[in-house]
Amino acid sequence: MTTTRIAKIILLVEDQTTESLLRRYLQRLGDDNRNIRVRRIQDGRGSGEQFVRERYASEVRVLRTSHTKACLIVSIDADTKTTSERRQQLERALRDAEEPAREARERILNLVPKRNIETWILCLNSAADDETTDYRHDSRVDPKSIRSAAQALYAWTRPNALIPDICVASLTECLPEFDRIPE
Amino acid sequence: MDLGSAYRFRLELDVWGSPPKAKIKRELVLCDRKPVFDFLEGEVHLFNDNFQDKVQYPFDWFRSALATVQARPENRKLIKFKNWIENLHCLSLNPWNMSDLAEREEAQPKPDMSNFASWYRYMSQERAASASKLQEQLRRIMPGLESFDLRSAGTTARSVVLSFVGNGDDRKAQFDVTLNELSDGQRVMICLYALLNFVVGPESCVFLDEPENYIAIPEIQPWLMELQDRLDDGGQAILISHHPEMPNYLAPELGLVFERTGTGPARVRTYHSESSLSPAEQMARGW
Repeated sequence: MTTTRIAKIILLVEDQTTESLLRRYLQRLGDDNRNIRVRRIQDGRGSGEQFVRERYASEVRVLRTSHTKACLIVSIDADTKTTSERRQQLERALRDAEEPAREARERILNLVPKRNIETWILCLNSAADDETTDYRHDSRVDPKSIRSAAQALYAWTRPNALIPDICVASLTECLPEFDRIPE
Repeated sequence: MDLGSAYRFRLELDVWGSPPKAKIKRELVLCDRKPVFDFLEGEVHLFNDNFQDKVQYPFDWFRSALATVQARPENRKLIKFKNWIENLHCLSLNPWNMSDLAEREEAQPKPDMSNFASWYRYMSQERAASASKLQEQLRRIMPGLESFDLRSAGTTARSVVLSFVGNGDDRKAQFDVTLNELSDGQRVMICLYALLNFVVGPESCVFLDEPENYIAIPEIQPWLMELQDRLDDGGQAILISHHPEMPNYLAPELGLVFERTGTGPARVRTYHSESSLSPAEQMARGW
């Protein structure tokens, strides 16, 4: 069977929860699942953030050298680190791989949820506003809350959107990243 | 499906002779560990919702007695389970067996979906909105596809016909293709997306044996994403696969490993790995 499917958005993420939120968000933007290629943790060694960090530079290189104008969305939880420390890890990964630093309008999104993606999901549902609690096993994070979180994320990323006070700092910091997604 | 209670179903068969014959020794349904149905050595016991053994009658032990139980106000627990099991599908798609001809309507797909045309003929009327969504999805997957129809092919028969319009320099060219004239992969894709639209849902349980057979690698993950999205609100799918795309995408968080030593029984365990190898690479090495 031949296919004409070409992935235009690459998701490099830690886990299925992150993937679900981002895919629902992209669907809200009008993207089809067929536009998306997901790479997430495949092995048990280390953690999801290690998977993302170790593959980040190679995905950036492939994106830059490919003739397909794709977009790379990378999501890596801050966990107990600061978002700044995580970003520096990603920048160091590029330097170590002798890749230039990310440019201002390049189609590479670096999302760093703190403490983890579940914090963002609950925050987008107005159910959490702290970045210290580990919400990974919170029962309020389910497919329904992920869908409503994606809707809220869409609303908060519109031009001139009013961002509610409940928005945690790491999400506020990342909202401009979504402008890098091509229309 | 959240049945609201814990059900256990037990089917015991007596097999004898050559060629082998089987009869039902016992067919038992427990709800929260109490019987609601027991077909034991040729006699059926029907229990009410208070687990009282109310009705007994003899039945042919070469057939399932559960399949013939009728819904009544006092056997809701049993009927809930019966409805669930009727929504259980075990499928192993074989495009070589598919006919494009639908002589009649068929409410259920056969295990190999050889009756796709007849099943689609039924479902396109029962679930017109879902049929429309299926067509929309197929148009995205199959460039140039305009319509997916059932056309008259005789007195009562209908044939699945796909209409395409040419692209590129030949935009006006139109041509029709029957289901049989499609490639194996295209037929399987149609079946897989039809399953998503007509079968997969909060009350379904689908077993699919090697669904990735025949289809192009770029199409596997998108279909898995669609399947996951459909199951967000409930339902279950169990996919058996040897293709790297499947275990690499699903195994880390959802994988089950079936393994057997020699001719011994098959054992099931949750996939878990401390290795740096991908699930597919582990499979390839037999580790």
